[in-house]
Formats: sequence, C-alpha cells, structure tokens
Amino acid sequence: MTGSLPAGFFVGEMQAPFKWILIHAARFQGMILVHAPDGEGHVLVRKGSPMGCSFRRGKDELKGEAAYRHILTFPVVDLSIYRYTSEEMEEATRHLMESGSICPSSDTIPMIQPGRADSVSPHTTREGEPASVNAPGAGGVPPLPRRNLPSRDAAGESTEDAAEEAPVVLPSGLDLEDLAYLLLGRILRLPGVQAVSIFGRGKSVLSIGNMELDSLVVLAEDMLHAAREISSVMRTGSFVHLTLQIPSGKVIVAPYFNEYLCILTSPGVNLGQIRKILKEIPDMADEGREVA
Amino acid sequence: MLKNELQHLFSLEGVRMVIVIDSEGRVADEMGASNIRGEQLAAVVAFVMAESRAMATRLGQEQISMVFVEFRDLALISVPLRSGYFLVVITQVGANVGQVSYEMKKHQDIISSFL
Repeated sequence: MTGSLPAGFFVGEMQAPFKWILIHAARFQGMILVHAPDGEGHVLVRKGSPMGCSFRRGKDELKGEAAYRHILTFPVVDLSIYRYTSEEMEEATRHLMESGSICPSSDTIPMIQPGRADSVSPHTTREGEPASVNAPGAGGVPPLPRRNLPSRDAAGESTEDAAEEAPVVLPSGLDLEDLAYLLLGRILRLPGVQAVSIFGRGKSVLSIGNMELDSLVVLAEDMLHAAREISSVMRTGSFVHLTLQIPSGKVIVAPYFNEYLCILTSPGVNLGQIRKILKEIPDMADEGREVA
Repeated sequence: MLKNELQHLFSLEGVRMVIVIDSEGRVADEMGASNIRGEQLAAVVAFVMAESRAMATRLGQEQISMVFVEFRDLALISVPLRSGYFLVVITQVGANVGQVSYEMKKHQDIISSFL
C-alpha cells in the first residue's frame, strides 16, 4: 500500500496475532500498522475485514492478499492502530485502488481493481508513485520500536499452521470482544496497574500497558505450573490466582478462559479491586482452569 | 519458642496448617492438618518459591515479600524467613487472608530468630 494515506486518530499499540485483532475489530475502521520480524506494512480494516494490505520485506513489497497472508504467518506481530473517519476511509480506499493493494477477498471493496491485488514486486520507486509504506499520512507516524518477536520457526509453527490458526472458541452467548475490552480495560485503569497480558503456552497473545510483559510470561507460566503442583499433594479445587509480591510491586497470574492473565502492578495497588474483576471472568470447567 | 509462634498463627480463624520449610523443601517445623503430608507440601512450595524468585530476579528484585496462591477450596501464603527458610500457611475458604498475612509478616522476624 503506498501513497499519502490519512494519518487517522492514534488509538494505541499492542502485540497480538493479527487474526486476534480482527476478532476485536468488528466495529473498527481504520489503519493498522504491522511490524513483523522481517518487515512492516499496513492493513486497512473495516468492520473486522481487511480491505487492503501491503507489506515491505527488504526490497520486496507484497501487496493485497499476498501481503495479508504473509502477515498471518506470524504468531505475533506489533500493531499500531489508527482509527479513520468515513472520509478518511474513502480517501484510503482510493489510494488502495491506485496502488493495487486491495485484498480481493474483501466484500466491502468496490469491484474496481486497477492492478493485480496479489502481486509481489521488488520495491522500486517510479516517478509520481509514493514509495513509503511506513507513513500512513502526510503528517507521518512515528515508527514503532523494534522488538524481538518470535519468528515462525522459533515459535515452532510452520507457515501453514500459523495461517490456518484455529479461531478462538468461546462459550455460547459470550462476546469475546466486549469481554476482553471490558476486563482488560477495567484492570488497566485501576490505579497502580502497569501492564496486562493474556498469555498461553509461553507466548503473549495480547499485551497492553506501559511495560513489556512478553519476556515475563514464560516466567509467569513457570510459576503457574509450580503452583498447580500444590494440587498434587492436597485437595485444592480449581486454581483461582497467584500473586507474587515484591518490594517494587506485584505480579498476578490468573486464568482467562483457556489462557492466562498476567498483571504487573506497583506496590500500592488495591488487590481487592483486581480480584473483584477477576472473579467476574466466567468460570470455565475446562482443563485450563480445573486443576484438582 | 518456635512452636509457640506457629501455634499463634494456627489459632487464627480459618488456618489449617502452618509449616516452616527450607529452600531445599525440607520441613523445619509444622503444625496442623494431619491429612496434609508436610514433606510433600514442602517440596512443592519450595518449587513455587524458586520460580517466584526467578520472576523477582527478572524484575530486578532480590527479595520476595510474599507469595499468595488461591484455589477454590484453600489458599496458600508464603513469606520468606531468614537463611532461606519460608513460613507457609494454608487457609481454608472464608479465612481472613488479610489478617493472616498481617500476622505472618508481624511474626516473621521472631520466627526467623528461632531458625
């Protein structure tokens, strides 16, 4: 995707599988900047559907569906989210069509495709064609700090496996989007809460807050496994939460459906408020929570 | 006497077991529930504390203030003592965990002095 895309309204940054963010974007329209281990790109999103996409990988620029598929191969990517107004969406859509970055599968895109949507071309700048995929608008967007994201190989997942990642399974009648935003938002807004992460199998799925929790989730999982061993020597019932208190604050680990929450706080946090919110997470009679 | 200190904690409402363990998972002293095998529990709690210490170290802290693990039917509170020992209290549902942890911290130094 090239051209002078609207800057939009900066919503926030997070680290998550791209499919995860789309699940949470049912009412969102705007641009999502993606930073992956091998490059970076943009995805224009309307109501949870990718409308257009580009990704620069070294000298190559992937466009349209090829770019989108490439982004999906990463288990986790860094995301910067920018909300668009209807006018900005229209403007961005025009740029998408002009640059040939439309995702053909999108049913919200006008059926006008001036270029191959799935073309893969070496990144060469032609006269009159803006080259930058880094800045969505004329005002520019500050680049994200690079992180050491797990590569596909390092994560032990093949490209196909990651692309075919199973959708999040929810209990019937439960709206994941509303629940996740409500819970994480409420926790993060509590005085003293510094960061919240949802993690599972040693990987951070979603991380929000002022501090980097990705490197902590492996240790959090180790603590969790050790704590669950308590159930092997006495009748405990299901695991509710673990709190590590240190002079600089607290680390709280609690079940979140089939995954876990890791919450990092300063010393003065009101644990009662956090526990109250944790208790509102619907009880799941699954293996992820029942340890007795 | 160490026993007297443990007895004080054990007398608190909802406390099922009080146990002092070392970092290797050996029991120094215990009081309470006969249906819980202290040696086995000590080994597991030492494991929990070791992993907790790893987390604390990662966060730039050398000291653990407390580890609290809550289950549906009981809770475990562990605070460090002197020379690598830990004071561990098992409470049942409905216990006043705030009061128990307060008393544990209050008696930390006294109990340490007996080790």
